[in-house]
Amino acid sequence: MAVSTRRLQKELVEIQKQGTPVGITLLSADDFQTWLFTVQVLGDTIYSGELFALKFRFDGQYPIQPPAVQFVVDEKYQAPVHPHVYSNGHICASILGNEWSPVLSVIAVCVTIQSMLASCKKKERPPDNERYVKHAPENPKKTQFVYHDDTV
Amino acid sequence: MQPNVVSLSESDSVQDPTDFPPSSIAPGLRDLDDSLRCPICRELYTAPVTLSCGHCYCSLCIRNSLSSKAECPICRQNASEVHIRKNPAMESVVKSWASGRDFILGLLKPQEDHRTSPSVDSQGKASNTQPDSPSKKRKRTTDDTLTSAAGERKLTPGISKAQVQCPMCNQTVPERTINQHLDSGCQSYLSEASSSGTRGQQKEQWSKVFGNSGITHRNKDKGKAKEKEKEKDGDPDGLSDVDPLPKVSYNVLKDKLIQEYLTEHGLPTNGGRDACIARHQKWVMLFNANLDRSPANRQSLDQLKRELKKWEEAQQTRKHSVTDVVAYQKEHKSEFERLKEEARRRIPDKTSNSAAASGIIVIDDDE
Repeated sequence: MAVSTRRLQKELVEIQKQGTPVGITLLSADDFQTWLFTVQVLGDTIYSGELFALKFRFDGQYPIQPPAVQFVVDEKYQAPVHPHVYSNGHICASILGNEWSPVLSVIAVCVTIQSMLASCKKKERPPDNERYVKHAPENPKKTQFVYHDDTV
Repeated sequence: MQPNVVSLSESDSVQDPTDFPPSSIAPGLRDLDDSLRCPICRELYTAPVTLSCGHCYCSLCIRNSLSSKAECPICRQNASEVHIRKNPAMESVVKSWASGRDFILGLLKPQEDHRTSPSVDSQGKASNTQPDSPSKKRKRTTDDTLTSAAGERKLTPGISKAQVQCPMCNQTVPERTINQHLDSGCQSYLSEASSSGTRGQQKEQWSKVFGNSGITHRNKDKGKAKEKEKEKDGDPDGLSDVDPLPKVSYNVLKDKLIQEYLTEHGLPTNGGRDACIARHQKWVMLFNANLDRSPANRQSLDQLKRELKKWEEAQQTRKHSVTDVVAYQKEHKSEFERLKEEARRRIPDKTSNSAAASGIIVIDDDE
């Protein structure tokens, strides 16, 4: 059996038995390719009251390679307005790229993104949002982001 | 809200620290089980090794990880394969724990039964007739069963009731034998339809491997008597005094030489240069990881080859996941149309946007 599937099974069992951290809920996990979570930023932040959805896509390389993670943008959900989140839902975060480590998990990614939102002081899009969104590949993993700002 | 979740029936066979009650009920057991697991695959350690920082992983897991990034996944200290050291103490701890685990779970069960339903499954596995085994301590058991049934149906689109798609290996399997198929580690009970074309050829190549390998070893080992003796020691291939395989820089090698490397180990040489390189790389990894087990626990070369074959087949199913092209096109018609429309719209203002995006490079990579 593929290592990626076994590992995801274990993560799923853990989520079901122990639950998810506050503000994060499992929306769907129909298979071992795509999982959806909702993320809410708790406490007194600029995103209070907003609900976002995160989409995880896994390939057979997980967990050696990171999953493809992006915010869902559809009729129901919008991507948060954040300097590291493009309006098409793509996220510029180093742990989804070169800082990924196979000991991280789906829940760890959710929590990191939640705290990335929580520490944000000003709602704005990345400066190159329009240009990026126009030419962005469908899968955010095909974009090579340059991580330059570690304040938020 | 009730999330849709993949059928748990297969997850029931997944061992996990949460099989043990929390520390308020059984102090230390859950943590113990957790600390005997590789942080990469979350299985009990297989051939545990440590890096120079002291962090411990399965040999195969860390070799895989290091091949994509040369650092310890936990502390990010620089590391490479030369830093890998066997950890036989951990190996024997894990071995004992693995053999005692079910027993301890069994001892704990009477306690849990007071809080959940009766009927106990001694294996800690839920069978079909017992979908809500108390050992799993599932909340919302009935709901889970319902949603899981729905999830399972979703997983097998377009396959008649008698045939189901195996959730592990994605092969088509007759429904009535799916459990046996899963129990066999996706080895047997496949329906005939799933092997055809290039797949069939592949199988032929591999079957040669298994047909021949015995003979090659016999030649190497000078006579059957000696081999028998070694088999008794659990060391059929004489692996106890073998050095690990060196890394190969494939870039400077001619195709022929790469094929020779494969033949040397009795491996098939079909497929292109890339396939051969991938196969040899994986073989070196499997072989060296196997040497990190203590001699008594080592797998035979045949088992390793089977492992390699399984890996290669998994690669293939991923690559050729689109089998019915026409159906795929139909299914994704709207998406194709949208992409075409978008592409057309982009053409006129291409000139105005020729300036390179700052800080972002879009990789043109058609997997």
